Amino acid sequence: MTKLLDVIDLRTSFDTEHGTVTAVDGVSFSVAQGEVVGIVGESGCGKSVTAESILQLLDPSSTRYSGQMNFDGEDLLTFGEEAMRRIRGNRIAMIFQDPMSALNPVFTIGDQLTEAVLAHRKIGKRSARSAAVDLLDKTGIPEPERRMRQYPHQLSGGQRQRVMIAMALSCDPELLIADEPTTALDVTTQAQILRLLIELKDEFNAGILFITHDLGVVAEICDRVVVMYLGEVVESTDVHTLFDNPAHPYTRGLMASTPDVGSDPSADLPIIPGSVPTLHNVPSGCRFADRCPFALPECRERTVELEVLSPDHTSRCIRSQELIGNSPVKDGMAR
Amino acid sequence: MTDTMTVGSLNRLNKTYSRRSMFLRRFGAHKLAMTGGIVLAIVVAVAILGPVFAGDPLTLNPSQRLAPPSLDHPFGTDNYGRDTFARAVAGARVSLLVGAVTALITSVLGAIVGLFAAYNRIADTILMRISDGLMAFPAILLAIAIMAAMGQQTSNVIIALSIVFTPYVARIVRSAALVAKEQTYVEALRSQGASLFRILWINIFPNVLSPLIVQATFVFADSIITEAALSFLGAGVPPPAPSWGNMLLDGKTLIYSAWWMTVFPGAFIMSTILAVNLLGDGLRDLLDPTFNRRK
Ligand SMILES: Nc1ncnc2c1ncn2[C@@H]1O[C@H](COP(=O)(O)OP(=O)(O)OP(=O)(O)O)[C@@H](O)[C@H]1O
Ligand code: SF4
Ligand SMILES: [Mg+2]
Repeated sequence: MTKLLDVIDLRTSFDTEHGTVTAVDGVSFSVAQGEVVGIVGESGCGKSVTAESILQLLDPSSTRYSGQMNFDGEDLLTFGEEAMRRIRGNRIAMIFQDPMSALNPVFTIGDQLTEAVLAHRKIGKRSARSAAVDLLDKTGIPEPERRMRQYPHQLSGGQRQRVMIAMALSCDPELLIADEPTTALDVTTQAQILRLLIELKDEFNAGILFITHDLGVVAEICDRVVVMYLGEVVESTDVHTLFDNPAHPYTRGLMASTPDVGSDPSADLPIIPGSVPTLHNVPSGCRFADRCPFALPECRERTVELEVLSPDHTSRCIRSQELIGNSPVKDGMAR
Repeated sequence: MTDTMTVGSLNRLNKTYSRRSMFLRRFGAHKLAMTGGIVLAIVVAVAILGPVFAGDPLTLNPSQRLAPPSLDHPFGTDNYGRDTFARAVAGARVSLLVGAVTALITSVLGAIVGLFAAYNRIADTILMRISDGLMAFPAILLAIAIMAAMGQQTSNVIIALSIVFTPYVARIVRSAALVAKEQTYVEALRSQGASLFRILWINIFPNVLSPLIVQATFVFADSIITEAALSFLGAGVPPPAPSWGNMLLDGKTLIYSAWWMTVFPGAFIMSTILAVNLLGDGLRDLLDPTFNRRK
């Protein structure tokens, strides 16, 4: 598999009233053609900022990027706004967490889809409209013709997310970035949308960068996983290794706090103590130390680098080697 | 909501298909807005049809000076013997024209400035500081200063009023656009490679249209008042052309001997402003999507 997107040492910082904060701090990962790469982490870990950095959607007046983002051999960070506009929605498409507000309330579904098609293909309005109907049909939405004439508020969350997917596919993207596309949906709809994404990925042979905080979803659709904590990659490996042999205490904490299918829903799940610190007081040494059950005094003394455990497994923890030998915290999660 | 059609979703569907007729029905049910609309329509009709039934507002008739209301002169005559009714009707034309053109110009300029400011931080800082500066002056003083600089002409009245009121419209548009801009669909559009033009004018503009329309009606009313005040102070529509403001000015010194010279133009101003404000308040209620739920 060839690397479609290769992010190397990406750093994204914002100028705020209280100084500069670095929301994404030296993140590297890659996505190959036909591959689904997951980014997981708690709220505020910088997952969305990573996604938005790839398309450079953040407010240009207060955001600074550094590093490299090689897409099909070219570094996107060297592109100007015009060149980026030709990439966005054309070769890289994105779908968002909140399908309720991802469509403009004043236009019909048909108007918005047709507009998206017209923006990418040099065809007439009529054929654009019928292309839009075909796209809707492909997402499995019932009665696509009628949906075309409806306004966003007349559709359910799942239907709107299908419309967003249709819109993202209007240009046959090579890479699809999905930022928590199923978080706002119920479990059944979530499963349908995930299946749809996989089918479409196989059909278009696109790569998918899938952002989520749900390890259950990761297990279901991802080939490889990047675990993020406070702007850094803390562990990165293929999905089997991650669930069989998680090396980082944070990954283990996430797994322990994910409910299993069939487990007693009323049983207390262990949670990771504390919460993600703010970007204004990033701890020195290991950023996870304050919440880590395995923390040692030396964890706080120096910055912890990513350690290569095996060719496709890295972890940012000085005790990785010890931990990896032990069986996972919860056997139920192993697949 | 489910994929299967229910009676409820069918009803909802029909309703949105006829959004416009639904708006008209709700407008009809809103008594204050209806009253305002009808009164304004009458004033507009009088202004347009004036030349057909009212006499010439400029004809001097020295033998008929300061005649009280009679069948010949229903509103009496002024100190030059000119027919007050004809002058009030011609004044309506001037006032409504000034109000409507100012509302139109400020809407266009305000929309451009407001949308641009909402989208560009540097433009925002510059444009909003300028508008702060303009808004710091009382409207009437600023208008007088501009008139003094440009000369007394009806078209200059419109320019002066547009300069005075554009910042108010731009502020409203800017704040509505700032809200619309934070919606995910704007980011979604950007992620699809939409141009700034397409985002601002095709997608955000329709979302700021309601507050813009409401603000435009208030500018309409305010510029009629300000024009009247300017003319009353002798800095507005130049005589002998009639306007409600300079009719009041003419009548001021004679208010005890010829009350009709002030009462009739005054009544015109009052009823027009009241009508426009009622209409504006009504539109604000009707265009506010949360209003129905509140009732
Ligand atoms: N424009 C901005 N200016 C300053 N800080 C920002 C900005 N955007 C995001 N951040 C900060 O960057 C951090 C990462 O945010 P991000 O939205 O990427 O989190 P996330 O991992 O996507 O979380 P969630 O699961 O809640 O979506 C947060 O601490 C957030 O406050
Ligand atoms: S380096 Fe130390 S504190 Fe950090 S995750 Fe590893 S054990 Fe925990
Ligand atoms: Mg997010």
